[in-house]
Amino acid sequence: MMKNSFFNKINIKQLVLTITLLFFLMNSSKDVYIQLPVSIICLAALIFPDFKLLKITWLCLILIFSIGNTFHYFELDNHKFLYIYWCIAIFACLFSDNFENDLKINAKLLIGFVFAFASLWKIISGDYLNNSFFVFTSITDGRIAGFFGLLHLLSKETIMQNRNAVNYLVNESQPPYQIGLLYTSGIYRIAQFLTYFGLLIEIIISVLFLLPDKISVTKYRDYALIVFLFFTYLVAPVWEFGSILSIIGLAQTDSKKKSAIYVLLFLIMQIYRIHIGRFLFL
Amino acid sequence: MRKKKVFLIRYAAAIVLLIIAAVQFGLVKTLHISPWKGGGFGMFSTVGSQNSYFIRVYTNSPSGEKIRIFIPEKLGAEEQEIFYLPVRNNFIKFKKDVLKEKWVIGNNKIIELDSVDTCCSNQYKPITIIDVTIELWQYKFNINTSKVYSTLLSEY
Repeated sequence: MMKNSFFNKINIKQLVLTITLLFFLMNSSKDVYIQLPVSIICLAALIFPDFKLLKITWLCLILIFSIGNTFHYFELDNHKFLYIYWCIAIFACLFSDNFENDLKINAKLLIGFVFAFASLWKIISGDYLNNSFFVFTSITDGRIAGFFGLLHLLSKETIMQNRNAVNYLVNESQPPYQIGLLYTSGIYRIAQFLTYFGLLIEIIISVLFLLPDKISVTKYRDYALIVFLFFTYLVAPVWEFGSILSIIGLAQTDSKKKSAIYVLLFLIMQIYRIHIGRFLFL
Repeated sequence: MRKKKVFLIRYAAAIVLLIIAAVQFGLVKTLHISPWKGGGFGMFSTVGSQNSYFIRVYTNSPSGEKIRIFIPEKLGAEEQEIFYLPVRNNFIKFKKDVLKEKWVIGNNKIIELDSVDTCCSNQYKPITIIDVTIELWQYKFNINTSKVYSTLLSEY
């Protein structure tokens, strides 16, 4: 009873804007010329609540992120692009007579297209569907290999050996043009599962978020996204991507209960920043 | 007018996303940039992240032999720029940076003067480099043979 009244009192608009500002305050950029102005704007908007409803606040964030990131456009991680799209969505919706409804539309489209492109690249890349990507990553990347170590599928020595083999290929003066890597059939089977599960869930999320609400299957979209966020970013070392997706997920849901789950996921993402896989690898 | 406003409010962010993703798709196909970068959400889709790129720089020794130049860490940022965007301008810029440095030759390799250990400085002698060839390579993984192999993408 108490729980329900607590969730019902939450103003989703205020909550989404507050969490977005908090997230940008903590993690806008490593570049001081972006970090400093973004932090000042976010702090001002968090201290003076009316400030977060001003169009100029979000326009400034769009400009700082866009101009600041232009200098290293091709080095940017994909979630940095999503920050800009999300600021554009909020800025645009501040012109709306129905902020919450229009922000929901924006959020669904952003999530739908992000997952559509992620799926498309996996299908056309040439080395994802044949398991190459997951096998290679599992046996050379310590952040992910830690989980396999936990399952006794891969020793630390084997991972180091594989890494050294790749370094040898890159650094030697008269290099060999190919060199073998070591892994077990257990690793291959898990990589195969991750390959197809990863692609399937991304396609499902993309379809569920891009389909119109009137189609009944879309009522499962939150479940798909929540499962994806919880498990993917436990392993994938990009908690920032998980954080911004949790915020956008929060903005598009109609259910107060699911809103609470998205907030919880946002908090969990802050734990994922320690890269649990690497911790297990140590 | 009102319809246009509603359209922009609802779809502006998604339209920007689609434009950037389409541009990135074109750049990956034409300029060899990694699908992981450029805003197209191709991360975790291929072994070919920017980390899979590497360069080899060569020059000819006075006797006409091809010798590899080992790039010092201080040129790491310039080297990275080629990995992120392997275009002619970045190759030229990197080449100029390489030629500006002072190099020494020994043990059949060329290294930057400051990289020489004081203990071994007598094993190296100065060399003037007037031209270099920069090769951009990428490693890939063949699941059928379980081998990682390198492939030459371009050279300048």
